[in-house]
Amino acid sequence: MNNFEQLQEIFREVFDDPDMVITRELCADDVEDWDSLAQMNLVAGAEAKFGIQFELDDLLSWKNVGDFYDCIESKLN
Amino acid sequence: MYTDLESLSVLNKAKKYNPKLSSNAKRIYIASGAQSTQHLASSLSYLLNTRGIETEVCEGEYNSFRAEILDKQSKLYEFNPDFVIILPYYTDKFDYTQLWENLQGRTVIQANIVLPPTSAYGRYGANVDRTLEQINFNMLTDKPANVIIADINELAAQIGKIQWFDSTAYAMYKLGCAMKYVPALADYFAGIIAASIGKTRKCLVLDLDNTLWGGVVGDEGPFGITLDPNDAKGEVFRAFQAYCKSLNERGIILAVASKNDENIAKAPFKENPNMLLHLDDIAVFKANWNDKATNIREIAAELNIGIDSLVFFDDNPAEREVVSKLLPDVLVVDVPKDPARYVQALYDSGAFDIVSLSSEDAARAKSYSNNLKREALQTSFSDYEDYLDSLEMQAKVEKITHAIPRFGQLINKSNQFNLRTQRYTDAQIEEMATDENYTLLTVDFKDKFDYYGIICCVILRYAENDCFIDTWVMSCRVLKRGIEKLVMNSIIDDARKRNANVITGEWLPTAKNSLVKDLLDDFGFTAEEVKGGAKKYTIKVNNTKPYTHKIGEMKNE
Repeated sequence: MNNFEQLQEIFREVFDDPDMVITRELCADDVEDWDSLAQMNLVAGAEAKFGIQFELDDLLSWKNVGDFYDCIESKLN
Repeated sequence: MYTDLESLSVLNKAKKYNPKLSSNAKRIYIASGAQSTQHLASSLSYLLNTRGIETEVCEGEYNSFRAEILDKQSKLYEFNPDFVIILPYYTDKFDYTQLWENLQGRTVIQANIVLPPTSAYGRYGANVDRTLEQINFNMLTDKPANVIIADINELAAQIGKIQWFDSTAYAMYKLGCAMKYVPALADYFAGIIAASIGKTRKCLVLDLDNTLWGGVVGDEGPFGITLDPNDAKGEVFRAFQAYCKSLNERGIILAVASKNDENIAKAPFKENPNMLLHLDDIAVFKANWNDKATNIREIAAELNIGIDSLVFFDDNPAEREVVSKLLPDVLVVDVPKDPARYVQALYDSGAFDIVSLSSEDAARAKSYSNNLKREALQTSFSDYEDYLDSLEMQAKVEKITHAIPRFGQLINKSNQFNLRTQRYTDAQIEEMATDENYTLLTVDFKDKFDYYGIICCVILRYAENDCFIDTWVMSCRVLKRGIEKLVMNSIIDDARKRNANVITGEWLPTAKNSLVKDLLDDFGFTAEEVKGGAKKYTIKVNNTKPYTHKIGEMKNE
């Protein structure tokens, strides 16, 4: 499973939807349950699964899944 | 404690958890200071549900605990909670005790303040400002009966303050602790709530092999099991037994459920002096070949307590699995592979957490502390001889006729108290033990504080009228107790019985054994320096007389 697919797994767990498919363009407005609490679970999920820690500027800057994913990749490299 | 991924799983499950509320659901209100509580609220409700407790949780507004508690028209009083959790952040410097009187008739769970890991005064901080410590201390001294102090500061300390606080998450979401510790915080509150509505556990059901001792008693016998205080692994199992014993002294019932023949399972309790738990500490002893679930059911029936007041501790994951499946009401402790971590695992399970001391508990705790005081008083002494007297030392000197593992172990690892540093294999020891030209002695030792096991080994080799001290090793844990004198008396005794005229010995210097350089000189042996700095010794048996010491003969219990 590549990192994008792993991120998709995190989304599936948080939104309790095993068929959920994410794209780079997907954003909070597109998903009904994607509120601030869900956002916190997504962040905690990514930190735990990828073993990284986000900075405040990261959390404040993401506009969509693509930004979130790129940030994970940059932390991993 | 949850791993990061377990925490995540709790958070995600809690997010989806949507309880159907019945009328007898417990009502919990979270009144918070400067921190958000949404994830705490959902995790708490979810975790209490897994403990079989239905709840309805209502969150107060962010940083509004004072107003909500002081204003009788607030949504807190409208909600009419059974439990009020007051959760301050460290910026909420406040005298909490004055809030409590408004909450009479409800159970108040007052979280203390987690002291932050930074101070303007740097590491000198505690010398300057102890306001937060004082607030926490006042909570404890002033609390009325309906208030339970939740020691969150200790929880955070156990996790580690630097891990606990997440400034990024606080700035972003006003989370008082890192997201991954929210489940641990929720579990802490869940434990308090469960305990305060009487969901407390009364009995610890223990497995035996690899739980109370290392190894399998059926294969290795009551003395072959790993339980020797001189062995790292033995020490670990003894520490677990000591913890179980302290639970028992606190009033927790102990029971045994073991797949074993009963007489084999009971043998260590009766015969092995390294056992800290004794048969009369065990209220129900089930050792048979029935499955554990059946035995556990019978234990509950015999004790006349509910299945849900039992805690099961077994190193075998398969047994734990079966018991979890068949008896879901039993709390099955998630036992780690490393026995060194057993005590922490049992502690972390929160199995026997309480929220108040019953009058019985209090009396027990008091008599326990009185005992400690009495012991402390008894151990006051004026000089070293007096101190030795107070130790109530006992020893047993035995001749062995077969190799025992401890003998080889002590001989091969002792460096300091070791006259000749001869190393022998178990096979060589066996040969000497069965050869009539040798006497092999062991010394078993205890005092009022501890049982030490075998702490000294001696090998005497006889040739014509000469008794040669081939080996004399001793554990350094028991120096300066007079054991040397006891051992010398035993050597002289043995030499007399075998009609030896002289006792001879040697000190062969190594980098580590200068401790015993003058040992035999001090016993009046005549020394002769030989090359390499070694010393050869002789003494006539007729010129010896028994040395006095303070060690009594060990009585078998």
